[in-house]
Amino acid sequence: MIEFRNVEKRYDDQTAGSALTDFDLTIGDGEFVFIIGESGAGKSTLLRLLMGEEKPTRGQVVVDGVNVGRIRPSRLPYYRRHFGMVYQDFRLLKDYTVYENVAFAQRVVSASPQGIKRRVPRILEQVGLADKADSLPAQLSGGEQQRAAIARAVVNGPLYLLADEPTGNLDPAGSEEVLRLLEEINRGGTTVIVVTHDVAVVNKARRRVVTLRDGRIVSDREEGEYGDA
Amino acid sequence: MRNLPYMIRQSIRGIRRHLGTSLFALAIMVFTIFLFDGAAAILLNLGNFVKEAKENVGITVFFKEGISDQEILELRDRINAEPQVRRIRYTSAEEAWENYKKVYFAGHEKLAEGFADDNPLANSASFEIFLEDMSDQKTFASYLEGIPGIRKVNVSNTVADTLQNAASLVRIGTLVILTVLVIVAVVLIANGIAVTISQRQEQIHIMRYMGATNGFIRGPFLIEGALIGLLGGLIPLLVTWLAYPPVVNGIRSRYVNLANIFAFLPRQKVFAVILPVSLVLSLGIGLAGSAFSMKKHLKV
Repeated sequence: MIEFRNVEKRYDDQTAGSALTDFDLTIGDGEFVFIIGESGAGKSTLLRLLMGEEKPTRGQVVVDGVNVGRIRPSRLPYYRRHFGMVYQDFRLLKDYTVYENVAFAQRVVSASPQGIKRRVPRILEQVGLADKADSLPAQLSGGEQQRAAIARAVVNGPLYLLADEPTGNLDPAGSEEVLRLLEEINRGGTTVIVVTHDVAVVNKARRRVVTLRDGRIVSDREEGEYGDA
Repeated sequence: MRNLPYMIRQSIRGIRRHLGTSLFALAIMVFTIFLFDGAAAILLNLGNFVKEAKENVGITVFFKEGISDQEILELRDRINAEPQVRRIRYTSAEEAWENYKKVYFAGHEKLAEGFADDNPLANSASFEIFLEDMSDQKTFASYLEGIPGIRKVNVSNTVADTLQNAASLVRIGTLVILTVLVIVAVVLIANGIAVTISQRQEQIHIMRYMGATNGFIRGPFLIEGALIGLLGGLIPLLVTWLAYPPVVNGIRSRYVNLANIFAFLPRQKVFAVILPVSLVLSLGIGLAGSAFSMKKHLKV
């Protein structure tokens, strides 16, 4: 479970207000949540706090009972292994094949070579890229690249999947495919948090929607739609 | 350990990414370590020469005219009883003349026959005194000068002093040049690694979010520095290993007199010192370059 308890985040060079203010949010295990809001609403800060890249100025971010702000730097990598991350620009390693990109995530967590050989093809099969294992990212469409990125994010079996504008660079068909995949992963028990501007995706999914404005939550609706606030 | 092959592959990729800088750093490393190896070989031999020279150079004591053999014996026992004395050798006037003839009339023995009944070195009977510690020579010479029956005390340390001065000069010169070269090598390696870090910034960011440990992120950069360092150490070691015997033989044949007085150290003996020191030095330079660059450019 993820809890933001009365969190305030203020940056040193911030002149106008805070990135997050009086921020209380609880996300239960296995939930699928959209975080929406304009640029500067605090979405990126929320992700950075969750990944332990930033510490709250006040309040606590608690994940599975652990106060993230108090994790020792040497333990932070192990905490982060509970998360998978998907980006708008995919961030695949350009000179690695699809297989190598996914295997890389396994190598980072010191998985055994046998484990990598067993797990990577299975994940690629799951995201529909088994036949593209030897392709370089530049040889794939945007949708395929994002699916490869999703495979990389989930290959280590994270408890939480954070997706930052995952459909931002995709056409409607690609977006729909990515949403379908995220839902499938969520059905497997992984908590999925999607930060997005994509009206179509949010409205199609009919999931919990948390709307941020100026670092505050202005609406939090189950089966919400874009612009409910 | 499981990730070591991956890290080595990454570091080789890194070197290939900025091959020019890597080769330049490698060249400076080779030059630095070669200079170190050469200087170390010279210093070790000079040290050996100094040691030999010190062991073979003593204080020479001449006696007053008319001193009896009995008095000389008493003098010998007295001097020999001093704790600073390692060894004392008596040379009679006849022996001195024989030695002189051997050195200065070699090949012209007939010329010396004119002195057959009149030893020109009649007053040159002497003691050669070798001390335990050469630094006591001056004090001990003053003490000897105060003993009745002694006419003259010669302290001949010139060879040892000259060699020692030469060794100090080589040592200081090498140290200065080495310091500059080591700094240049560290900076060059650091620059090369900074290039790799900047090119891999995005990958590093992704790795951090994936839960990569600091060791996993830093490993390839450390190995990259270590590889350039080690290679830069091994090449000059190999060259020195191959070049040492012909160089020593060349000196021996060119300076026959020097070769008769001093023995050059065998190659194995020189390498027992310079091999481990060079490897540690080159590895140290490589790792220092990596560490310096990571501290500046890599936030994990």
